[in-house]
Amino acid sequence: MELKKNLQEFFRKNLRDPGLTLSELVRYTEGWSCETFRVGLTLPDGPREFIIRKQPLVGLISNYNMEKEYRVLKALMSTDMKSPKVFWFEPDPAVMGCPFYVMELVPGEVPVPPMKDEKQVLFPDEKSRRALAGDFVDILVRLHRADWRALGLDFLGDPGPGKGAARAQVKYWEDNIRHDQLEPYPVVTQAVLWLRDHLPEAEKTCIIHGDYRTGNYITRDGRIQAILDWEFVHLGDPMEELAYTMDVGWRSGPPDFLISHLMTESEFLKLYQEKSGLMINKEALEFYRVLSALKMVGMGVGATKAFSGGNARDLRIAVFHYRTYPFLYVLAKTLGVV
Amino acid sequence: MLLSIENQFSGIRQTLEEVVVPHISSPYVRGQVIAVMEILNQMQNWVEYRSDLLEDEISRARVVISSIAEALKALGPEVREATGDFFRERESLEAAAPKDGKELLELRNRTNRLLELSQQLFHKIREIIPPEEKANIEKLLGAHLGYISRRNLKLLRPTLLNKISTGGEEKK
Repeated sequence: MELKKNLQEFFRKNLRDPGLTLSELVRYTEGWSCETFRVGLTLPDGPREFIIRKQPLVGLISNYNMEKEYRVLKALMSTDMKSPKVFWFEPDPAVMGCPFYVMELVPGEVPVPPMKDEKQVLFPDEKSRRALAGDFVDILVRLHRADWRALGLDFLGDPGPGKGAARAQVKYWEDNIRHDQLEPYPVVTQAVLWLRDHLPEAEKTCIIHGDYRTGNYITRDGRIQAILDWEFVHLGDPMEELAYTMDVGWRSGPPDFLISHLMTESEFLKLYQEKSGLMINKEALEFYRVLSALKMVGMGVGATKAFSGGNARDLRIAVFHYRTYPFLYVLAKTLGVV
Repeated sequence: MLLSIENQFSGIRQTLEEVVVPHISSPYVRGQVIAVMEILNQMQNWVEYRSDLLEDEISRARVVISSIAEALKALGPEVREATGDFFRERESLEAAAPKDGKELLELRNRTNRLLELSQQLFHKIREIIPPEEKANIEKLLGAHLGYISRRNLKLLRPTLLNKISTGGEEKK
């Protein structure tokens, strides 16, 4: 009750309407990190709906920064990027217990990929799958082309030229894992040693969404309407994003192993190269493939730490922590030891 | 085991009590969930870490650690002295005699920490030891990491993650 009352006050203040009432507050079950709510408001001129993205008390990574995500989305509103419009950021934990921001409700649906052992095909219609695949690459290229300096996104931390982007990411994920791990993982140590020895040079520094895949966008009428879940946004090497998106965990099952259930690996790389004008650096992709596997382990280890701390009253986190084993297996596989 | 058994039992009990039970309107269903809490509470003292898995991991890690220890020793007394902590911890672990599953788990963790230190030391000396020794250690290390990753993966049962994500509803 207190939460609803606080939020009602929040919207009354920000929409400058003391008469509005909060009629609905529904928490979505999707999303394993930030908490997402749909809010229904009743105003004199009719109902309105918004989405709230709230920082979790604990989640898959230790250092959530909702303001960073909000500022990026705010900046992208001035571009042709398919990102949701954002309205307000509230840093005061007095309202919802943690910082949050409010964004538009984009009508449509989020296609949720089936698990690998399920026989279901996510996009059975060839024509609509191709249309979505085109959108998927188009939007990614737009993001990577965006002038982050002109957009004022320097605050994300320029990793610098050359090997800076790769070095920064290895350090970020190693630090996260070391901070969160409750037991040693020799395969992680092996991966970090390998990564440090194989840092690639970046051709350019661009905005990296960090979790670009099917499951993190909204579709309507067979087209992508908005890219969601920006908590891993940072500046980095575009090859990092491609390798993550191509990760085995986000692909369809055999025989095609489609990238994000949309297109083959060669189609994805060819289309990206054509649209972006960037050369695909195979060595960098190999490096970032290992880094992506390390990142997945980082999320599993983060969930483990979160649940062990006693603050995560969310059994989904306890379930997710078991995914660390497949993630460690994939990491071992990328290192060539299985 | 990523999370301790104690952590998992207490976390599940607390979440059911604080997050789930208050939202259940049916007294019967509420009672069923409280029964789950009670069962978990009682079960905890009858559950222990699987010693076969822990012992297997420890003995296999020791083989890799030994091979790196031999390579370090062969580099002479200066290297032996500079890596004194490594050798002392190795001796201490070999002398350990765990009394129960919890102590065995701690021994497994200490062994893996020593393995990590071995990996770092090997990384430093790999270009100054004989190539065949380097190849042998790499083979042993790779085989060990691969074996443990495969073994742990096989212990997992099919997941209900998607059902959890959608709240149990079928979704396209």
